[in-house]
Amino acid sequence: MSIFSHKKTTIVHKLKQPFSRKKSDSWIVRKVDVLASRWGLPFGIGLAIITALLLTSISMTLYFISDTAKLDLSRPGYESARQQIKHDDSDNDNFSSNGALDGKVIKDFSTMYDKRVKSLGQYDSFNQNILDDSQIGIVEQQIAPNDGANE
Amino acid sequence: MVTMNKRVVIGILLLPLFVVPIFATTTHAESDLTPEKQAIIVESCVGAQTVLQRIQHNDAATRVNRGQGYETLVSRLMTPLNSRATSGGYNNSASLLVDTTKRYQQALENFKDHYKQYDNSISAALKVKCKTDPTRFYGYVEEARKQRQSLAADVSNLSGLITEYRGNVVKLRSEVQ
Repeated sequence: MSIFSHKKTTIVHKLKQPFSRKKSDSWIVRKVDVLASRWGLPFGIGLAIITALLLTSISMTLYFISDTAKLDLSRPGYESARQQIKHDDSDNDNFSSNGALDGKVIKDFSTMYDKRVKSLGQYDSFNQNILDDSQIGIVEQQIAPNDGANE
Repeated sequence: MVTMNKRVVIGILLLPLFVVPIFATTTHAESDLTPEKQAIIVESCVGAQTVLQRIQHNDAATRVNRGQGYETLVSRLMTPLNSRATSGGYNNSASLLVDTTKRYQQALENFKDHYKQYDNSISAALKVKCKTDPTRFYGYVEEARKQRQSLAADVSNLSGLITEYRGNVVKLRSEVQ
């Protein structure tokens, strides 16, 4: 018997197993079977909740470790940041990757390119001074002169 | 075998609980400060944290806007032109354009990485109890300053590469005509 026909037999056996009355070899399947027959609907609901919690935990883990969270401005507290986002409304500025090149095509390209570069110029370029002590308020508090000082 | 299966299942269920805290931890930052400076920080750090939070929000918007602009430039304009220049047989200009694009993409990756580090430092400075631990708070602020410097350098580098690419387009035009 070739390796492919052996694998085919294994797959067919596994597919048929849930519909047959034979007990499964797997520990977890047997355990689930016992719990399901004992608790019925509450077990199903519990299983659904556990699955939902597990999937939510996995997706939250991916959300944080992929640093998507850092770019997600829909988080609470980021309302002001959301308003600063410039939506790209120049969908027609696509340059085709096919076709011949001539002076006019390159001129059109240059126009689109310059327009996009110009739009980049309007954003802050992470200037240094903004984190200075004086800018973030780490300065010695001035004591307000009292009325008697002027006398 | 049964015990091992149990362990595997329990392990999978508990995995996300441990993964998030591991990745959420940040590097520990300390700073040498004079007692006078520490006193000033303790006095004014709560206000500083409010300012830092506002800066963080503004920077997030800048990151998204700049990132979007840089990505659009490379995906919608640079890559298609490189492709046309190469298929058109303008090898001299095409190789210059491709080379600049590669360095631009690398610079863009650096920009993204440095932003992550910068944001982590700001977040750490916001989380720390600055009144009880001013040294650590200021350490994170200093770290953020250094990383902001790297970010500014990345922006400058990207601008330089954008200008260089524009110069290569002019060369391509003279080669075409």
